[in-house]
Amino acid sequence: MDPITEYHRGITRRQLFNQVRNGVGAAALASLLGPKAFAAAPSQPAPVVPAASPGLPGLPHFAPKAKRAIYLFQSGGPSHIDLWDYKPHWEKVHGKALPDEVRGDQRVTGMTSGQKQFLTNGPIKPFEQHGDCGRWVGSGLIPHTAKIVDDIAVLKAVNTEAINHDPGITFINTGSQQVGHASLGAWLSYGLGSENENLPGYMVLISQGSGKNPGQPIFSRLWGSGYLPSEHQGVRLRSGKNAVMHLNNPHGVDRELRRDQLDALAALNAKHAEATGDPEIEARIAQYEMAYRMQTSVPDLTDLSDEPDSTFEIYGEDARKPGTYAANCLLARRMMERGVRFVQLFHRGWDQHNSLVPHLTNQCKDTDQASAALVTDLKQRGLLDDTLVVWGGEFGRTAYSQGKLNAGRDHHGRCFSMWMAGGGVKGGVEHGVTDDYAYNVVDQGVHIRDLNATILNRMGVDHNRLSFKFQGLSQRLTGVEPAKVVEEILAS
Amino acid sequence: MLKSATIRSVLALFLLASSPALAEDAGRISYNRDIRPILSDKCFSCHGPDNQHRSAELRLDVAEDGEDYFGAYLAIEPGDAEASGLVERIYAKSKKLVMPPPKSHLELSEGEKKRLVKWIEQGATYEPHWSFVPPSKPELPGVKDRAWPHNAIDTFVLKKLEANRIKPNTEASKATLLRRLTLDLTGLPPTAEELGAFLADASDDAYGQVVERLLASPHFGERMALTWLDAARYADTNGYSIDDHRDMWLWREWVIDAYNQNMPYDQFIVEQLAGDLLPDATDTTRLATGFLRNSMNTHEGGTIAEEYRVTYIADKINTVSTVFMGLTMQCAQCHDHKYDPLSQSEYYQMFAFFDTADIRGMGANTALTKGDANTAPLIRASGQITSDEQYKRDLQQRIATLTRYLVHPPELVEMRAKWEAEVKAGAQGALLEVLSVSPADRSDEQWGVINQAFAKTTKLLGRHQNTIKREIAILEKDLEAGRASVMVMKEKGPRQTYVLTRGDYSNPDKNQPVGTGVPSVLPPLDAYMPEGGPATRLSLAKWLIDPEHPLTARVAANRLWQMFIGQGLVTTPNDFGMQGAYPTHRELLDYLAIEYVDSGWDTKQLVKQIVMSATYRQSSKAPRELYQQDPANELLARASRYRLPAEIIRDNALAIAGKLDTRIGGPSVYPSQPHGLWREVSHFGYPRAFTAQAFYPSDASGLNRRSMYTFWKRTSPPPSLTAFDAPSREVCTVDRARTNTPLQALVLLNDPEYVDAARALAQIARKEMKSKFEHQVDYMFRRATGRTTTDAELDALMKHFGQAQERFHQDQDAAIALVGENDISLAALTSTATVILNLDQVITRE
Repeated sequence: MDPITEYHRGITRRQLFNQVRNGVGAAALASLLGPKAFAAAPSQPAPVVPAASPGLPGLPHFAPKAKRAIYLFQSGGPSHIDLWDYKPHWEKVHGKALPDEVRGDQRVTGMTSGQKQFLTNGPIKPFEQHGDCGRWVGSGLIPHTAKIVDDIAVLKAVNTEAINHDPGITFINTGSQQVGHASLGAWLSYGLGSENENLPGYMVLISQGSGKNPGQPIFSRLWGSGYLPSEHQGVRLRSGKNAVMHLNNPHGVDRELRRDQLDALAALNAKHAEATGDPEIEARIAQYEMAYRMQTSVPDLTDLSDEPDSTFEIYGEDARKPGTYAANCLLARRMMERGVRFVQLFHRGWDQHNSLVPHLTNQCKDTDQASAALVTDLKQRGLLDDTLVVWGGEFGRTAYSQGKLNAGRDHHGRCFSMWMAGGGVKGGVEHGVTDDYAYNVVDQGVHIRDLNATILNRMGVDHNRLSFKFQGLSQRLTGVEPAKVVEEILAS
Repeated sequence: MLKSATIRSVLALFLLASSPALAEDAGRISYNRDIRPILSDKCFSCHGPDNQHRSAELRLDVAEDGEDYFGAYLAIEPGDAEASGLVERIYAKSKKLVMPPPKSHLELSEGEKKRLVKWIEQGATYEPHWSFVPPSKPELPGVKDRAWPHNAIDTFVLKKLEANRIKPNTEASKATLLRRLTLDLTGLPPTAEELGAFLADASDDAYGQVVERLLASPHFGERMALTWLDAARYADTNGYSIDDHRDMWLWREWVIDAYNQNMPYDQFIVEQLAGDLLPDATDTTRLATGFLRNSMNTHEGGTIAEEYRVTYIADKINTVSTVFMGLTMQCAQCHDHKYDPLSQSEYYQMFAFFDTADIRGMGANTALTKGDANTAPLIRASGQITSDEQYKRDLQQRIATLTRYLVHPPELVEMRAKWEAEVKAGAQGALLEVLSVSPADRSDEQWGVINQAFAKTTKLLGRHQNTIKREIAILEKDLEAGRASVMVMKEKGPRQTYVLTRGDYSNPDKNQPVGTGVPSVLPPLDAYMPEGGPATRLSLAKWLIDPEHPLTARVAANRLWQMFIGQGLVTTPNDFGMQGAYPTHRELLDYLAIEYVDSGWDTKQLVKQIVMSATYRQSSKAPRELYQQDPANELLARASRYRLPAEIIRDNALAIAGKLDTRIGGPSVYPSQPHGLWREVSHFGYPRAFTAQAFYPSDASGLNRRSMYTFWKRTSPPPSLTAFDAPSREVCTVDRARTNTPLQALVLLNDPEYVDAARALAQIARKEMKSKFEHQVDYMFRRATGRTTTDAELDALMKHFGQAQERFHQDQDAAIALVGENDISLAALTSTATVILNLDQVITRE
């Protein structure tokens, strides 16, 4: 444990202990630890008792534009060629060899490195201009997202060194291709703590698209804590009645009996805390109380019966089916309303090496409406101003076809597109210039380090200053190479 | 007495809080202890050993000038702070001048600045980094309280306590000691008989006898192996991408056996690093090299094999340097180390030791393999240390279980029953016929008809069947071979190693060829070079165990200390370099290291010394103020009190409940976990199915085994263990976190394994204590804590028992749901058992 966290906990535990000792007996401890006691935000002075995770002293480093964030992670590598990176000459060059000088001597994956020819493969559906900003969008595939272009900033020159899924997805989510590092969400939880007294600060939802089923595997390290204390790892929210693992009481134990159990447990633990002197025991009592609250707060979160029909009109009927991307988008909004710091969706199936046309079409159908609805919905509720939404995957796809024309596309990390919305990000802008084949960055490249620095920045975190000492180094999400915040897309 | 001790300790700690360390010789600044940590943390990244990124050609890690740099004395005038440029710069008001520069986001505290000044005033003496100098045997310090120490360890601890005017704590109660010892040495709680015997034994060596008994227990090897599995990143899957299964459990068996045989630690190192290269190599020594093969591997389509071959070697260097030397060598993969004297070319000299081995970037693939799920080179060597007959029985049993799942995939049983209830009314023909047979009486053919219809409603059935068939096919191949396979090291032949520019596999610097070698800051390798040939992995292993090696014994002794005392003397067990923590008791660490070597690397002997000490035997109960002032227990004025490791929490609960299956060794098992966790993230459903993509629980024989045998899938590790900080085992881990979270509460309260344990505990109590409920409750408490209840504790538990009884009386269905029968007192006892199993003291080593 790092000294800062230790210090922080020491203080809060001491306060808690003093209350216990000042005559607030164990019996009263339960009510003392009730929701209200946790309501104080970590930045406010002298909370009565600790929040689940108070964050570091001195953070945020500056006033955050986004208090919370949703990352709509599109696992597998969505095609920037078909969705965002419009080139006027696609029609002319479609089917012609990709010029050698465009491809250069850069490495390609083992899947197409042996290919005899590299035919330029334009978008599978035509692009059109949308919004007041006149953004070109592959709206044949993503008609709903096309409607929110005035609210989003499209980054067209994002890039990564990785060319395969495992290193690529590990890189973008943990800042390193090597395993063992902490994920973005874990960093946010570690640095900023949780604002909600009844839910974890970092939640993860997983879905599988119909584009390619099964999609590429994903890994718990993508939301893992790496070298950070493991309490900062993402907590999976699953469909079904145990939305959080082992949430429900066993058969035969109702809520009243559970309360009795916890009261007995708290009484005994408090006695033992007095006998041993160990403040860790009081922290444990508090964690049991949070678990108890989660038993109602999580079902309250996942029960969509209070959503009007209009919700499902905008998110789509899929949102009624637990476990779908659309349902997860809706849950993400509900978590934002409840002050969860960071929610990350992982949607699998964006890996169109083959069956490009049907698979990409399906994949977009699964995600387009709900992604757009989420932004619109947050905006209507006045939440978009301080909620950051990020959309994108671990890399893009090649402008040349894998196999026959329109058959498929290989991985492409040299440039790809992502978008961001809300939370201090300008709407209706695009950033980054790629070459005529959407193959190389020409200007304003955004390395995924820069992307992560920008996300942290919007949350009030200086990526240079959020570090954790491990194996002799000050580890950072953005690593040792310099990273720069993408200033051009920031709203003042 | 207690009170005045408290006040004294608080005062002492308060005074110490303003000094850099808990100092023994107040006033005198030690470079190693007080100064280097400051310079390293705040200055070395620009003025340190990294040749490629150095500002102003100035090094602050060395005093004198070198060929192409200035030493620290350029900026420091020993004895004269005012004349020292360094002092001027750290106190500079101008943002342009002040050091460290603001853009580095590093800052010196006032205390740190003062310390630097004081050090310069005292002559600015440099010392070699403490851990790079071989330990010398310290003299036992003189102490005032001659009565307290039991052995040498205690004199070192007491010396520091006395310097801080704190008295050691009293000895823990016998019951606590027995539980502590048994958990520490075997990972299991003591039995009631063991407790009774120990409490009744008033002889002087009663405690020593217990220590001997536990060190001789076969569970000692399991307990020690558990920690080694983390260090060695043992797992049952490949880790990257598809993350299908591999077979390395034989290596785990080797580790348990090595600890139980008390294999000397030097041999333990040599066999694991180079067991294949020994002149008298056997399958058993080759098997030991599985240690190096525990690296993750990939067979992701599109992989560039060389990229991953390099990654696997980097993982081996990381593991070897961390677990044997406490060095963070991986920092030097891309550039010279920022803090430690480890250059990039030295990194690639280490690399060269592994570069000549047969390491394949593209791993075996369980969907395609014709023979083995493991990636070559490998051997089939089970007969060497384990029974092949038992192995075959294990395989057959698993095949039988999976064959049953082909018809009844566990995840779908409930769904299918629901579907059956819905379609029954409308069913016709063959389906109607089989549905009218009661489920218990249906033949597999009849289930086949049902499944055929059911498959039309869900893709999952076909996918499960396809996956299960793959699992069975691979197990059948193993059965045919008759012996278990394990991945091992094997040399391939000479290969020229180059420095890789910025660590990039595709960018070898042809101007920088390197051969095998070790960092120049450490002892030379020469003595271990084979005649006429370059140094090999065997040379590396022998070099590590050289008694003059400054790191090997210290790092190992520190880890043992950490296991039994709760935290290392060096609190950064992964880093003994400049950025690592200075030892809390440096002389003690050196003493232990030298004892270890002098005893012939006798691990049991060293463990025995630690647990026989008065330091170890202290009570963990202490005044609250001491807990607050010394939360990490660096002074050792009490025993550390800490939550048990994940595996031991589960094993402990199963043992308390009388359910633990203590069989040692064998292939990994699959205790229950929530349905779907694996397949939701895996490549489950791919037509050419892979193994380990969906979770199939063991039959009864595998549900209650010790947790170290739980199948470890790296991309979705055992959830009830990771909730308690078990690592993913993707990379080597030598210090697990100990967190305290609501998810842990949910596991202990609601995980069916723990609910079953509570019920089983209630049933035992009922059986053993036929008389009063009070006795039954007290019995459960005793099983769980190793001591009897106090009156207040019994009152609290009986109050709950009464409440529960009342509730179950009103709702008898609830009692049936909880315990399977209308037995109100059993249900109430079960609810009380849940309270007991969740007690902080039950999951804590006290």
